Amino acid sequence: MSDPAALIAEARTHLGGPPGPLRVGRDPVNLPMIHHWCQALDDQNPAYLDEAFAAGSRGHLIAPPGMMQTWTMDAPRGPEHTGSNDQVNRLLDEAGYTSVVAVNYEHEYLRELRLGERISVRSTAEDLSEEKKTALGLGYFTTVKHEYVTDDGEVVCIARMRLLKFKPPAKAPEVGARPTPAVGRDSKFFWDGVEAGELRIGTCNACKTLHHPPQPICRACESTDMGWTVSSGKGVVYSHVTHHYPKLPGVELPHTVLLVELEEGVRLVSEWATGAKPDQTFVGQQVQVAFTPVPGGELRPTFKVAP
Amino acid sequence: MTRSFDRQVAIAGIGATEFSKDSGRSELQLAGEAVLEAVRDAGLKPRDVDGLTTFTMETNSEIEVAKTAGLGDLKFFSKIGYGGGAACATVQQAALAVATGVADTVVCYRAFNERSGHRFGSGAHRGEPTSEGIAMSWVSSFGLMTPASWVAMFAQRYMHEYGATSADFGLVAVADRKHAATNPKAWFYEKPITLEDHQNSRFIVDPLHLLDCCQETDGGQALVVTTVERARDLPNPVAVVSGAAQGSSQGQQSMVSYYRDDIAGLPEMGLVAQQLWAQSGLGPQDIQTAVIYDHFTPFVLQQLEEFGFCKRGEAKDFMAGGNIELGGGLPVNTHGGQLGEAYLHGMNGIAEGVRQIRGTSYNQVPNVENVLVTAGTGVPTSGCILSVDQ
Repeated sequence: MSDPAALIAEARTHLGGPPGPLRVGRDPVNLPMIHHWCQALDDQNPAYLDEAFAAGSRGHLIAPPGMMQTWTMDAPRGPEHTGSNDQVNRLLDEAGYTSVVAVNYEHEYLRELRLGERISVRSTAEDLSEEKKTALGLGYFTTVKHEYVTDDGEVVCIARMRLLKFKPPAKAPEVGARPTPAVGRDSKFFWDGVEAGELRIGTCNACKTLHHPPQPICRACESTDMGWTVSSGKGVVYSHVTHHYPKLPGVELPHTVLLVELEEGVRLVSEWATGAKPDQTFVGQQVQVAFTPVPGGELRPTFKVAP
Repeated sequence: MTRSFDRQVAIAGIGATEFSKDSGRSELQLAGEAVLEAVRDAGLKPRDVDGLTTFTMETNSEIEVAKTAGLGDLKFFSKIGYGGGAACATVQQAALAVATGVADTVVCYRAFNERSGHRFGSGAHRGEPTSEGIAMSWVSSFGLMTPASWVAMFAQRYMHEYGATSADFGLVAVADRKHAATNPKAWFYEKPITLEDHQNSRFIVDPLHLLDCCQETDGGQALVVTTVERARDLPNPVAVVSGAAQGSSQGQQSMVSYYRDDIAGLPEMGLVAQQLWAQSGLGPQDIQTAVIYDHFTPFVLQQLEEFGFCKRGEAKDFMAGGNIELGGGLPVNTHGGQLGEAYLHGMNGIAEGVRQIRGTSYNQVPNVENVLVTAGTGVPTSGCILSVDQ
């Protein structure tokens, strides 16, 4: 494997280099292909289609200029890809920028084409950008100049195409969305608290006993007057597991689940905050609550290592 | 042979909520209030209740109601099917439990928001999630979704408190597979494993390896229970039920009782043990072989401790040196257990207990008089002792 930077540097040496052999169009400019084009694009310009009209205009039918690329589209490539553009593309492929998308294509028409003319094309690499971060991934914009010529060597069109050659991003495993918690009358305050950035613990208004998971009657004093208090969010890891198998909805594996004992004395099951998983998880580890999204975007009360 | 309730059992308390079209509170709260009201009417305390019975259609499980109402340890809990047909059967089952001394105080209950919540006539379910669904949500919402992971959380804490290791759990797997290897009915017949195999098997949920987890099985198992008197006239040697008990302890949840003071033990199995020894008049020294529920290896250690075969935290030492293998001091899971023979929710283990009493096991232990069989761990559970007919 060569160093990508070296490959890119080598690609730059080919800019403006020789175009390589001409690619010769298989069919000359012809009426059936023009008919198909005009029908597909619903272009009724009589200069392309009406011989009588054309006779009174240019003296003959002309090809739609936009068809330029079609005349060489099926032109066979030679066995050796020696042109500067071929070299640039090969080197970008080797450097890992294997995907391609066209960005824009500018045509400059020097004259109109007549039926029966054979068109060829030669391509020259003109420009290579710096590495760019794009929505598709990291890549380089390349500019290639296409010169369309007749059998006599007359240049009839100069086109410049800009392409993005990019690294296809590593496919993130599709984990889907984490199941939504089942929320009832007795637990709604907890999840409302998560939205408000508070870790709320069910609390008996009569005797102040804490209950997690929350319940509608205090098991200490039988009161049904239940409320909640806000936890400091400080606690320690009481136990933990790391799930490897099987795949679970909305869970990126391996996934560490924590049983946290809060300093108020109740325990709750939770997990490390997004991006805050430490190298090691151990019983007795000091943690602090955070509120971070899980796959699917819902918030959960999660934990970070305490500062 | 006439047996009856013989006027031994009574209804001592009744309690209800108000009856409305929109209670404005959860079904769990309604159940808790009704149960507490009945207990107060009876002149008792919540801790006096040691049994609960309800409908299979009830959305509030016995353990959610017990936890919510602050009831005592439960020695009896049951659910009866077929909608409203269950009503008087709750009294029948409570009476059976009380008449036999299985429980002293059983509460029958039923509570719902049938008008403001899910209406039976609506043809579709809607309304609040059930209290059981909400209970599971406290773990599943954080990615703790599988039985292996629920058990692993207890196992990690047990390892921390007592210094047990994964290799100690592996002793259970090795014993199970050794026994399965000589049981032609076992899935893993002739496929023993070594401790090294166990240690090298991949993690399912760290600290549990693949070989800590039981297999999955398609199959069925049934048992016929009748009187000893009648069984003596039937073809097989009699397997006497010397004890049978249920246990659900305070703060009990299904698989995830992480909120109790101590999670390194299995108090509900301790409750079963205490009842079984009391009912049978036996103790650990009277058991020649045991079928210890093994959906995951770690809970086998806690069960050995809860039954008093060894002290707390010492199961790893008790199991060392092949002590739970055939030829050891207490051969465990001679059929291969659920890891080795089949995972049939423990019912195949009861059958193995019967075979050990009959003397027909593929891995017969000599001179068996009493066999202990236990049921699922991490959940409200049960156990029984089978004995030879003296």
